[in-house]
Amino acid sequence: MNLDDPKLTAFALGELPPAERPVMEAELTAHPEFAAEVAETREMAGILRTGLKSEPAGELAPHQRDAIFRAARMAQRGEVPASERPAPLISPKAHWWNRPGPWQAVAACAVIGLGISARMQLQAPDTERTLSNVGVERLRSLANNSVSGTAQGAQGNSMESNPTRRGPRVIGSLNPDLAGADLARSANRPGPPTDSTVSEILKSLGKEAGRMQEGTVYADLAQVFRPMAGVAGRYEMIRCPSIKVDVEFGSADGQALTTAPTPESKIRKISKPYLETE
Amino acid sequence: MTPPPATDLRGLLDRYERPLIRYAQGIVGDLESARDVVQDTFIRYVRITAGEGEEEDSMHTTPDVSGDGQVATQAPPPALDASNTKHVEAWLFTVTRNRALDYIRKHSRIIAMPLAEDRESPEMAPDETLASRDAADWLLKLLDALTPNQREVIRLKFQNDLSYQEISDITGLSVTNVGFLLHVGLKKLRSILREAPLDAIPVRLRTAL
Repeated sequence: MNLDDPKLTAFALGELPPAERPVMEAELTAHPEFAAEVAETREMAGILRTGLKSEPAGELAPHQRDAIFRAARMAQRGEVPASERPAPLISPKAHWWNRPGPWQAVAACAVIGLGISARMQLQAPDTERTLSNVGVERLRSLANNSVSGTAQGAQGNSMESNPTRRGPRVIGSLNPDLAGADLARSANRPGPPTDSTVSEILKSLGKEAGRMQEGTVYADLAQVFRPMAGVAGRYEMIRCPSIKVDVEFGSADGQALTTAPTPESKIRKISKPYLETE
Repeated sequence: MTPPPATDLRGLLDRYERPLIRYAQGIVGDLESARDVVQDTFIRYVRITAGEGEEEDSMHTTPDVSGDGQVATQAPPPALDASNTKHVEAWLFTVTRNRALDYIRKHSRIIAMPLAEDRESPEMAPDETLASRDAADWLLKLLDALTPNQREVIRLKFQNDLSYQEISDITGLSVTNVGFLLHVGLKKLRSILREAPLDAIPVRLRTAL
């Protein structure tokens, strides 16, 4: 045996088979350099155990735990839908911004937001602009290119547009038969939902959601998010319910709160905002 | 096989979630992907224990090239005996490892050590967290001097208290190879430490010297 024999390390780590231990112990007695080697290896092992066990470790997000329990319940019933197959190994990242579905939800939120904005402008009194300020040809062109949306636009919660039509896209309800003054106001409507506009809305939503952090009280959270029925700890954004966060509140002694939060309850843990379109 | 009751599953998650995420993070390189891998592992677990059988596994058939050109092989997951804690542990680590290697193969990732900003703090007092982070960061930098295989067996051995045999089952390496990798890895670390000035070693670790 020499100093480079892996058996020395195996002995130091308690991995040498019992039958070989007496021989090794005799070797250590006879060769102090072997004993020193074993002692050094044990020291190094101690450092590694202490250091590596104190390495901080992440944990699953609440929605990931929920997915596991959901899968367990479904497996018990013998159901394994394709949608339950874990996404991470299909998509490059689990980040929601890399999936198409959530973007559709965000786009929907953005379009609804723009629709509300457009509607408000349509309904706002307009003393500045009159029919004479707008060329008749432009109005005609606008009327020809416009699309009739659904009447639900009046409530500002559902809009339609025709993606195949070229030219100005109309957000909300715009009818070519509108009276001239209304049409003139319509000419002053916001432009189509460009990428930059969607980005701005998204940024605004993200900023608002991002203000919720550990230490934020429930009263402040409730200004932006509302609890989801039937899913403990999950909150949906009031402005865009597809955006959700998982929240755990803490008690006064810093432990997880097991009862309903009070307005003063502080957030103990909060996930990053994510999209859930189901 | 009867699926584990929800309470057992919760206990299993509580016990293994962090070690598995830490292990997966050491392979895939970032926390978010590691979480996805571990979620996938547990979903497989509940399905297999519910009697849905082993799913298609490219595992153990496709070697993967790690950062330094060494081949990281995948081991077939052992038969899952949910009533045996050690079996469950070995199964979870094996499947986590295989899914993590699948993940980096599919995304052409190079095995990398986790970045400090990817690590999450466990629930500890601020001073304790700082000291732990300091010691762990220092050690992880030290481990960068090793090959991915050496790092992996060292993590499994000292972070998760697994035996040579268990590491062999998880990694598909022979017990002799595991012993050799540990031996060489430890010697290399010792030689680096020997040359490091004492005050460069975090206080928390000096007590182990």
